[in-house]
Amino acid sequence: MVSFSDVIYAVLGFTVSFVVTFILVPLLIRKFKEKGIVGTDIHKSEKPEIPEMGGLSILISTIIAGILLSALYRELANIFIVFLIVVVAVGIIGAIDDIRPLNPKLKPILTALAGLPIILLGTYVPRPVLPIIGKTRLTIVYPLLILASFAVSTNAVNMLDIFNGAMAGTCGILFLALLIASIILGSEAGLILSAIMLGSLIAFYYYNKYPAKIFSGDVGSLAVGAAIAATAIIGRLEIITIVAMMPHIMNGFHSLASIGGLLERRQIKARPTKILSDGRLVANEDPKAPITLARLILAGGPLYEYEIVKVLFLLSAYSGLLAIITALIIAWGL
Amino acid sequence: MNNKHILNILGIMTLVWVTMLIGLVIIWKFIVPLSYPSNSYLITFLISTFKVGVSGILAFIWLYLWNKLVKTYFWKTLRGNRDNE
Repeated sequence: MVSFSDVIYAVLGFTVSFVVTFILVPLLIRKFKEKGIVGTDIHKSEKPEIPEMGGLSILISTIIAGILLSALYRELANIFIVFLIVVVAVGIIGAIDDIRPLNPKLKPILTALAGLPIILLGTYVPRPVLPIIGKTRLTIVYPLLILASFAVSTNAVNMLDIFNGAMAGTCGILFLALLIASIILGSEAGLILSAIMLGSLIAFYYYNKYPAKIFSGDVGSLAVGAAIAATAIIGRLEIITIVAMMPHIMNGFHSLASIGGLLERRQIKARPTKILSDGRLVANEDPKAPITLARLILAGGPLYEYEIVKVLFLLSAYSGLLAIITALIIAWGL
Repeated sequence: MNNKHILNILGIMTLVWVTMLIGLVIIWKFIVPLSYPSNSYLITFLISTFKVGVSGILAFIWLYLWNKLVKTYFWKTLRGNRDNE
């Protein structure tokens, strides 16, 4: 059961990560522009150069909020420390990938290995609670699933970080769903970790929304993906997170299934979408193009970038709702 | 914005969620509780392998059907839109 003090710590975590990110992003925008750390916004006809690696702000705010809470909330201090270790480890992998793109087959292996601290420090319970079924026991398989979940979650979030505000918005909605599910299921760790990430993502979304002033880069998207996996495992919200992540999983799964394996963005010859002269995006009809979630959405007709992002938010909100229903089914013991 | 198309995608998500829950129930209520007729190591190993194998096959079928559904829907919608233009 979540206590009043847990809620206070969650509010504190949310506030600290929100404020730090909100202050940090304008500084990063200026610094990255000076240093030439910029990327092209490919979905705009004028192709503007936007500062990249803004996800550093998410990483830094998470570290500050995590350290502060581990000092204040001694009972959960080890959980916050493990959470920070894995998120920072994946953030470093993302930063390296931003500076010098990693091999697309190596990236999932590295991100999977980032889940090792959770296994080695034993901050997991190999008894996931499933709806209708209740408590299960996965003593041998669970550690392997931890590694797989990091590879899947980090890369799934990274693959949906394609439009202005898409990553921050969809993951913000996801963490809101996890926060509500944590209250329903009485997960203190899930509540506080979700609140920290939610605060950071809302502040980042303010600058990353259409038209974006900054991109998160892989440092941001991979770190957020790791935070999702870590919150699911540490907070015992495994099945709920899978349901809440459905748009990310759909995007990654159907993309990979349609191109037949892991490829770096630059290696994919046919792009999933094309830009029309009026700035709207349309689904590419080339059979070799991956069936991404954006391409699936655009099969219904051309849309502006901000309209696609709205649809992505709608899908995220819907999967968040399904996740909350799943949590209620578990809580009611149906 | 094509609202009917968005509703169809939400429908696919709902179907995936419901079938996932049904699949989990089938695995945990019918496959996992299969009892071992003897304490022999070989029998235990074979039945455990059978449980993992059947569960894996079910999960694979679920993923295959999900992918097939999305692919079929995608191309049908794309061609339908092209024909209407």
